Amino acid sequence: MRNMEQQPGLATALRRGTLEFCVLALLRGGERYGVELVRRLGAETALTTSEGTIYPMLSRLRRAGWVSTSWRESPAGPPRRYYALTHDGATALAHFRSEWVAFRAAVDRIVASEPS
Amino acid sequence: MTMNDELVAEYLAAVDRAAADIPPSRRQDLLADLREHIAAARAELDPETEAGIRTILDRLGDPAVIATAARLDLTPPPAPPVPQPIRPGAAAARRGPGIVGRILIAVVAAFVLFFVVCAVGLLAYRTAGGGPRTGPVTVVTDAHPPSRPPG
Repeated sequence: MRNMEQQPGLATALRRGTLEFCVLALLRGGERYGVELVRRLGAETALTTSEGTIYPMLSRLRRAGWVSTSWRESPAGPPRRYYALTHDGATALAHFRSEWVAFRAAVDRIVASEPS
Repeated sequence: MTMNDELVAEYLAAVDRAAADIPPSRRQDLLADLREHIAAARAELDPETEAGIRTILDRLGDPAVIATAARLDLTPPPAPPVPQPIRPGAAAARRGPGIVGRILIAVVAAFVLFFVVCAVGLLAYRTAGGGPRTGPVTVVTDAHPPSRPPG
């Protein structure tokens, strides 16, 4: 019972500080428009609870200057907001990558190994 | 207002209520983002059906959960500092002389002012005190140039 209660909190804790770098990583290949970005992340159920929960984080990334946005006309429907990686965002992502690789390796060495 | 518009308006109002404790500017940001998302997703529906609208809103998720996410983002996790070896130095170099320079200018200005006041006072004293004593007056006049602010 206790474990069941802990699970959602654990997922939230793991996503915090990680998900935003997934957004930055999705922008490495070039700009993407908001809905496309949110749908791509929303499809990863291990990473997000729902599409709407991603927007507060996108707003924070905009304020931090790690992404820039520009409005474009769309072939159908309202103008679209496109997200692009900034220089600061790319630097932050590179830093995260090196930290993450070391972090993941260390956790795997201890958690994922068979008890000896 | 169509049925679909009403569904959307109800959903956004529910988010607004759930996020009532979030600072207005952030809440407006969130609502604008969601409104924009819904408008773009609606444009992709062909034809636009009530079921289609409900799917869009379902995928956005529970307003209470979105509000919780927005609340968590008010106190962001300590983001790793953007590591740019050149930057902190450059920033310090830009900021450091600003403060130090200002203090230095203030100190120099105070000294200059002090010497000018002393020189003027001495000059006035000598002029008033003794007419024939021209020697010291000359010294005082000589003391003037260094007391001028440099540059």
